[in-house]
Amino acid sequence: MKNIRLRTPFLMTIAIAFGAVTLLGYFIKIPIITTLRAVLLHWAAILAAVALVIGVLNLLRVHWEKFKKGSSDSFYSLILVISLLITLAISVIFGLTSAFSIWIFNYILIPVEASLVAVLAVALVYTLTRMFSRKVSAINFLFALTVLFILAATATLSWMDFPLARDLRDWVSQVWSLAGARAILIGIALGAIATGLRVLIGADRPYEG
Amino acid sequence: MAEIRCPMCGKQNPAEAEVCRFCNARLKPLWADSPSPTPPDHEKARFDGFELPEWLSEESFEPTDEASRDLDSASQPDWLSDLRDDSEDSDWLHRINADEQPELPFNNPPEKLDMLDGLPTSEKLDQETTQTEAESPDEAQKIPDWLLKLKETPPPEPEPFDQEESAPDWFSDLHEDVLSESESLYPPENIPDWFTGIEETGQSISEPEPVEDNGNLPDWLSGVLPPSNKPDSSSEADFPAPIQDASPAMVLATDDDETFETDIADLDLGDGLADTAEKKDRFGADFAWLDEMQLEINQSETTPEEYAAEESFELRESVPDQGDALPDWLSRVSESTGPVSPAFTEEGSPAEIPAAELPYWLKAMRPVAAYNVDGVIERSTSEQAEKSGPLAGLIGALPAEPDISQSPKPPVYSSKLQISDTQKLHAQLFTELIQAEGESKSLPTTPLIKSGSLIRMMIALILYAVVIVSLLSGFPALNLPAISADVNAAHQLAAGAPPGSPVLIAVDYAPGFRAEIEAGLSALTSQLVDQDCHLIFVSSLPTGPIQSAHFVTQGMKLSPQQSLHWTNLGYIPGGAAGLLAFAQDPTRVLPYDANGNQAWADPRMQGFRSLSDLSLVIVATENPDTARTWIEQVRPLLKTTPLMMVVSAQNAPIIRPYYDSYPKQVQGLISGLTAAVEYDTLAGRSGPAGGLWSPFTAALSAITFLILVGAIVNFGLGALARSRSSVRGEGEK
Amino acid sequence: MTGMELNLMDLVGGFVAFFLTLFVLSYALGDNALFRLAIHLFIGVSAGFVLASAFYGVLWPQLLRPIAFGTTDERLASLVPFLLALLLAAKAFPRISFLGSPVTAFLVGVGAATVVGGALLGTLFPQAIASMSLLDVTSIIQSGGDVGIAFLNGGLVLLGLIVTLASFQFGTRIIHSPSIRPIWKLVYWIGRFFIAITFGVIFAGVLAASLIALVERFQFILQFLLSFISPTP
Repeated sequence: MKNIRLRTPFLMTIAIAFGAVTLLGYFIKIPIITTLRAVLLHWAAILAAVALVIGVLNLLRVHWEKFKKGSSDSFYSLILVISLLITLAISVIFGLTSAFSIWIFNYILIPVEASLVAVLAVALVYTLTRMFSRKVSAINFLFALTVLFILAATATLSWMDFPLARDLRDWVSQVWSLAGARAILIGIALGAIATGLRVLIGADRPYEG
Repeated sequence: MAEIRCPMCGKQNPAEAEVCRFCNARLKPLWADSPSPTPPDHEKARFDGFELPEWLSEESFEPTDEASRDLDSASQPDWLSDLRDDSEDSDWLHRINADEQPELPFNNPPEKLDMLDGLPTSEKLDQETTQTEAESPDEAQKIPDWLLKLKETPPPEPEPFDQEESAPDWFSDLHEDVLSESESLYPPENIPDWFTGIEETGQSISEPEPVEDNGNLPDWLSGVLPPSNKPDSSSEADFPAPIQDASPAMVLATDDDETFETDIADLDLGDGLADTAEKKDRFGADFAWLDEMQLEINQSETTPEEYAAEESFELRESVPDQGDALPDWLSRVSESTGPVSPAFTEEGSPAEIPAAELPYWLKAMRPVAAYNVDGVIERSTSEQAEKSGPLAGLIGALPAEPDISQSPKPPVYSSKLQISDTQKLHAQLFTELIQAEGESKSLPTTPLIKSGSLIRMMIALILYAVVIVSLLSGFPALNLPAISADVNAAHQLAAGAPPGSPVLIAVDYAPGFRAEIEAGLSALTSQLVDQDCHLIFVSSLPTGPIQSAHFVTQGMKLSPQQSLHWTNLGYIPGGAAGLLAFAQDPTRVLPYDANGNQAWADPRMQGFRSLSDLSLVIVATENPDTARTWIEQVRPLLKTTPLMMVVSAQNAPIIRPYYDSYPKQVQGLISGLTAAVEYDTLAGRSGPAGGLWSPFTAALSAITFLILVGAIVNFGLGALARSRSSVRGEGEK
Repeated sequence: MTGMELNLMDLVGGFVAFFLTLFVLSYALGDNALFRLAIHLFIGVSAGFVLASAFYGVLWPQLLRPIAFGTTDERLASLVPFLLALLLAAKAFPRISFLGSPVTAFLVGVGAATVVGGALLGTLFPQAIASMSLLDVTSIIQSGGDVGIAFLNGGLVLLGLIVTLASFQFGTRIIHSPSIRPIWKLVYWIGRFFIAITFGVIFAGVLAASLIALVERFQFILQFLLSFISPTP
């Protein structure tokens, strides 16, 4: 297995074979392929959960070792480790959806994450205003103008009823923005197809090493 | 035919020739052929080891020509006969190391001879020795022919000797040099012992009688003697007059051979100058300067040994210190040559004869750096006087060794690297640059409060104040938005779910966007609860199960009349593959609920074995990728089951193409707080969205104003800064 | 939180949420120790929930429990994923991490195929069909609405789509080269025009979403504080 000469073709065979079966299942509705595809997808889901567990355990190990080294951020690593273990213990003992778990979720997770999103508002406003301190190109000016128009239109509708403002706002967000968004989606799809096909033909081998 | 070798050029000449046919040197000396006296034994013992050179040996001074041999001893002055007879007198010559052959300074002597012309070379001495052995003793007494010729030739009218005008500059300089060196060169205490020994043994060495022109002197000799030049008793010995009277100046080597370029035959030695006055009348010169020179030489302090240490000329070592005046013939030479143009001119005075210009090829050949010719020449013609040897005391004697061996020390170049100030500066800068590479630069101290932080704090304060005031006061009471077509379609879609039908709700939003998403989701689920739909919660996020439970317990805000039937199937792992697997076979992917119970055993779950059995699928997410994955993987397998999306305002533009497509991929879309408020309004309920609407709208207005003002201010400041920088740049140009 | 019962748990939780909210909002003044404390606490709690959810939602019921307590069929059905899971777990140990490479290759292959199929059938084909039907009168009529306006909007969308897709082919270096034709420069700039509008709408949405979160947080803080002043019965 350690032999590099045999390892790469073996791994490529696995990736291409199972990938081909999965892709064929999209187009060929043969029971064997469909069944095999369902089994492979199920195994992939389970193994993804295993990978998630391994990732979290590795996070725990890293911060524990950081705490043992006694670096400047060791206190924060200790907080992380303790909170992780307590949450796991409560979830294991009382259940994932128990009142204690909900309490932790409600009074620790939600306030911190919501506050992080709230701080984003100030940062976004500051960034948008600072953009004008540098030389503004036509594209940047159009971008800022669009932002201002959407915000103003949304706010104005609450102060006063401006059908024109509403229609104009809808026209901009549902027609002009639609063209760009659709192009973005198609571009994303094309990129995903190209990347996936490179893996399926063996041009990219991210599983090595 | 017998041949004799020229002492100067070394070439063979006929025996009867008096001058060399190649270089015109005298082949036969001018001295009378008299047996050279042998030194006494005690003197011999005294000077053991000090052998005469061959050319100065006893035999060499025997007159070789017939004239000198025929010289009658009776006609000879006593001093001359004493010179010849007294072996002790000639012992000093024997004392001279015979092995020390004089080394001529140049191999090719000039055509014209100096005072040493008559001195035979070693080769000639050998020949003459053999010749003289065959010759009769009488012939040895004869006066040499060259002396006779000198006698016959009337001396030319000597021009008045003007030391200042006629004498060449080198000669005057020589005189000055000699005067300056005389005291240092010839102090009485520095006279060598052998020289003083001669003085002490006055018995063997008789003092030469004063020269008097009593008519007994041969003509050749009388002309040679200085007018009133009595040799110093301390330094005088029975030296031959030419040598005795010779001063160191006589042997000074000079490039200006023309000065000494004189034909001996032109010298009138036959007249015999009796006194100084007569000589003065004859030569028209005052030879007092020679007397002075002699005195200075005698009083010089430099011992011959010291002088010999400075010079390496063997000739000078071998030549004894003379310390006396110039011989007459030499002084005549200077007079007879007539006015001599100075060899070099004073400053400002143009030379009559322009300096010779060396050809370019000769200049190129001339060594400059390693061999300082000027130094050699300068030294050879400098004030250096001979310290030892027969020419001790003479200034300007030709060096015994060639000039090339007398080269000064080559210049010592410093081994230090010679660098200029600019190079030093560059090297220092480069050194600092390299040293700075390994050093970590200290970060510049940032001010406690920066302008960016101040602006950010101002924005935050304004925003927070508006929100707090709006929340506390409830001001302003703003109008609710009008119901849009999208919300209307979504409401109709939800209303179309059959009662008791399973509705899948995917809780795939982050807790941070809970307020916005749950505002619309709660309105939708409230309608579904009213329709007694069975809500099945799933999530592709690991925190989805707990979030679903939180939503159900605290987010839905159900009224007491509402009963909720719901199932939390838990977490769908694997991302797109997991969703596809779930879409294909939900029971296989999620056999248990989030609490580990058998979820599919519930009777309400009996009608649900595939997604197509669902009446509605609602996906609540703020992530456009999650929404896209649900659409791409699940939508094709939903078949007729409508798909509704409750999204945030930030991903609504990305989802809209799916909503606005034909056929629609997303049948219902509720985006943001505005749609939630509209849905609540449409549904006739007051949800959490209503409580957020006024503060949200007020904050939105504040943000709009802040952005507008900030953009204008920053644009102006930026334009001002750019104009200043451009003006500064133009000014620098 | 209006009318919330202020029991002990809720009171403590309220205080914890209150201070954590302030800790995170203090980031507006700059990075500080309180903010870091809140963030590390959040990460630990999230990781704990993830671990619990993955283990109790997937590993235990679908892997470990069938192997340990399941029937023969269940064990056989779970044997292969169990072995694959063990091989994948070897990735955590550098010395034997090579054992997990085949499992990784399997996951990569299946995931790539899923992405390709979904992009192809879920986005590319439907969006292409939808773009083609923008100017389809039949579809416009069936969708309802004014035909003329729909035709105009459809044309605008179609034009913007084509121009924007075409502008993706040009980079900055290509567009500024002297050999580029003016028509392509025009296409490039029109495409950037539509992209700018789209991003502007997205940015406005992000701003609105963050503003809603800010309002909700202040609402919570005020309700919590006011609950001490005038607790609801």
